[in-house]
Amino acid sequence: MDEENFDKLRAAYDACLDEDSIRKLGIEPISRALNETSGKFYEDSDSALSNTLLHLAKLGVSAFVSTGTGADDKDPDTVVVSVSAPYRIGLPAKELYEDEKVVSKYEKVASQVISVLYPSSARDSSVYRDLVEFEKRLAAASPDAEDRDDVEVRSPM
Amino acid sequence: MSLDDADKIVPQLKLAKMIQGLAPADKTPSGIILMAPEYMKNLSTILSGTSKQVLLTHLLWKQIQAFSSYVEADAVAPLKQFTNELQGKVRSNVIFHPTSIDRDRTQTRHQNDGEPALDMWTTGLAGF
Repeated sequence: MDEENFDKLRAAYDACLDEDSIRKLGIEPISRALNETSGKFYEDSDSALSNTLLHLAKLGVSAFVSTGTGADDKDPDTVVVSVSAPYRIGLPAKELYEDEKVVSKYEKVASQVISVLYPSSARDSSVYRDLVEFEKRLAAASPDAEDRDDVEVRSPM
Repeated sequence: MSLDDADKIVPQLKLAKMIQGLAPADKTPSGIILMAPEYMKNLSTILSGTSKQVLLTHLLWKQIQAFSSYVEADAVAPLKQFTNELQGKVRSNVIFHPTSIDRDRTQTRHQNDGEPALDMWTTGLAGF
């Protein structure tokens, strides 16, 4: 069993360090992943947004909300499910959205990267400004870091 | 809070369905803890006032940020550089070239920290 685990670890480690293969693959894998996400998003269904968020959550990507499990504060043998604000809207801290220099750079980086990895977004260049304005609104609405996991502000079970 | 009540606060997300989709097939959470209720209410308002294109762009951008460390290509270089600048590692006029040492550090961190949500879900809910 230990040997199996070791082999798995080693394979993952070697794969990560196989720079030649990774560079050869380039942006193809992530572009494919993005297309899969947009495919789910544009499905003709009321649940399209929800399904897309579920798909991303399974990949370990939290958006709009962060879901998780943990021990109940009052009864450690019970597992509770929690839904909270995301740890990170986009920029690493909500305060950074008030720094126009950082925001402006962030918008530029987003447009440079997204337009290459998902070219159909580049059709309308105003989307990157709108993206940043949207994230600013989310950031303003999100709890401050020190209040984030505050037990007192949670809604009762 | 019941799943149905949580659903009503941010109806666009269909939280009950999402939670059920993440839980093991034989488990149904009897309720959830909904943190940051004010944020949740504001979220619903913000979502309904935002175009589908912008919502999708945000989701794709989140996905890119989550996986960019696995990509070796010029296309993600601006993001890696920006991330390093924010962390104060590199002055903005120095171009960052990832080296094998950095990949080793990144991979060790990935393997130590693990992939987040899914492991937590399967181990956590198995305790029901």
